[in-house]
Amino acid sequence: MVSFLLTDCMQVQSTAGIWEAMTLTSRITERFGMTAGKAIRLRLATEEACTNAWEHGLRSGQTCFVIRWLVSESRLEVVVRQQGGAFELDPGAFVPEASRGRGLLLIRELTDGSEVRTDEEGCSLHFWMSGVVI
Amino acid sequence: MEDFRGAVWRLLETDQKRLVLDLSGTFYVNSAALGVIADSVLQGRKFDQELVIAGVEPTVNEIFRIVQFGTFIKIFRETKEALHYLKEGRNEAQWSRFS
Repeated sequence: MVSFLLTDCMQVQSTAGIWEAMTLTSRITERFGMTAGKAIRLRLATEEACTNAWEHGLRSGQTCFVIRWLVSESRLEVVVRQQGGAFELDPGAFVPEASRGRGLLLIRELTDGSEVRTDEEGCSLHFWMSGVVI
Repeated sequence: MEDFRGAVWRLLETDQKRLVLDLSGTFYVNSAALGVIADSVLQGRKFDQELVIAGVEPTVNEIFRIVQFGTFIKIFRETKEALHYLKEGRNEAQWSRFS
């Protein structure tokens, strides 16, 4: 059983909010002593997850989503929660030349782990990275 | 992002057939930028233009590796390597490319 400490939480209501979330990820990785390499990976994963949630929201009439940062002794976990719809971490055959469709692939490959959890109210994309120094 | 897209498309609008997109000093690219690059390479091919990428920092190269850019784009660590490739022959200088 891993216990997490909720470090930060914010509601993203604009594309500027995505930038704020990326900045907050960087601050948290710095606060918990993560390496620069891991920090930039998590920053990019944050951007991609938030962009995905934001674009999903635009298509489905949602005007905001929530992002949380959780810290345990072993890892920093980021949770992006959107109402309705679903993240798709394994969309099938990937086409390198395609215009779109790289965001969730990047999240999956850049982080130590990722998963989608769904319930009746929506779905959450969780991704995490080890290397936290408490 | 629109500035980057515009800059790359202006590059394609020249009458040059061999083009280098120099990413020196770029340490971060998101999926939107990757889409712009992929679209530009494919668009160039329609007009017999070859767009290669140079000045790729290790962090950016890792992202390129994940999205398999090396399968359809020539990627070089150094700008001079890209220029050599375009100038001296497209079958040479493969050794200097990132894998």
